[in-house]
Amino acid sequence: MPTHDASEIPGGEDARSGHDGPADGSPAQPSDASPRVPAHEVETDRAAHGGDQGAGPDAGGGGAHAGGHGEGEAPELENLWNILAKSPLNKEGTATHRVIKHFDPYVEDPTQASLHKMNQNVFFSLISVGVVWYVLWLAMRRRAMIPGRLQSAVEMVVETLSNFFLGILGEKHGRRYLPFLLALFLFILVNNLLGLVPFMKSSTNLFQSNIVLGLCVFFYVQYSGLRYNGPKKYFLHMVGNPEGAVMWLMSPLMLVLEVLGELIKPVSLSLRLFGNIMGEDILLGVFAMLGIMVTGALLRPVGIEHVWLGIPLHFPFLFLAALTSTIQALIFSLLSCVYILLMLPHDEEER
Amino acid sequence: MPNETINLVKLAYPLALGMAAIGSAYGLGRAVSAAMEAMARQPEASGKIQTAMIIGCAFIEALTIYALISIFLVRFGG
Repeated sequence: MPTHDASEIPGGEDARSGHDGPADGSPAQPSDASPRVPAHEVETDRAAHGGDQGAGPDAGGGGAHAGGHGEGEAPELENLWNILAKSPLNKEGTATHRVIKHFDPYVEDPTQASLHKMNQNVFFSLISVGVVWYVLWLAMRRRAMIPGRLQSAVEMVVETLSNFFLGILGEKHGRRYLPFLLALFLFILVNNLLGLVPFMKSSTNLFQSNIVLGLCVFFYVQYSGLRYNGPKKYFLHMVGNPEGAVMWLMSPLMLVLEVLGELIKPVSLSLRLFGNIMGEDILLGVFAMLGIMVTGALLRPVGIEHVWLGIPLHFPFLFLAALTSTIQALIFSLLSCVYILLMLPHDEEER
Repeated sequence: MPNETINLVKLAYPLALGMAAIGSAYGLGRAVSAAMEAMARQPEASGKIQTAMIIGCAFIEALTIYALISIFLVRFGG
């Protein structure tokens, strides 16, 4: 990781030494000492994205901080929360500080601290819920027979997805599972894509928020299996539909296998989503940090010591990240759809 | 730990990921080649084939992602 190797790269030293000022300036900043703030936070050249012209360099622009805290943290791009917590606005007496201290306190206990690490994810997932809700509300405000642009766009998306899921689940019985699957897809999609917007973060970044989604799917699938089949047929499905004495003898083994299989499905779902999204976040963070180091190395002979903005080397990976975010959201909801299908009785095949 | 051991341990992470990537590259190559062959046979079905190919590729990719996750867990202290 770059903390150890940065000393060998020319310009790494300067990029590190340039930013002890703002970071150590204000006394008793909780965000400095708490272990949950990622140390290697990176600010990029926002102008290259075409937006956010007003966003100047920030305290986190130095790349690899030599602060000695957070050696075990993965690099990540800045977001609103981090910037606000580390900005000069966050002084002791101000209202900003009280708000931030309320939402993001510094606690000694490592268990509580690891729970508070999720505050940013909860905040940004609330933002994505708000975005989905607002767009859908705007589209469905006046349900015209001849729809306007937003309504027809939203209808197109919803109808394509509905046909896709109904093609798997079957037209007759599939409709009742559609709200869950569509909500899942839209929520995960907006969550993933939010990480690519400057100053925002994807809330599916940590394993905890992904396993929550996986558990939602797990409980929904089991509940709909129970409700559709009835408890007796559900248990027989778990045991493997035994017919004959031999299969009844094997049924405890089949029960164990089926239960394990049912338990591993949400875990694999959430691991796939988590790995993709955290991987792309770290990819963007590392390449942005590399861009700053390269700029520092290039500008050092000229005489510029402190580098706050850099060449946005991570820009091509934004497109790759957008593609994989969309695909992973689709995969998650598609697999939930298939798991629901596996729970329903299989005599739907004769269509 | 002596320096050579630390360097060897640090070598293990990219090596593990590289080995996982070999398997996934082979699998993805087979999947995409089968999809291309099917699309060449029946160009009018290429929409469905492409969708199925993308979904299959996500499955195959997931195993490499599991290897990447385990590297993160070991390296960054889960």
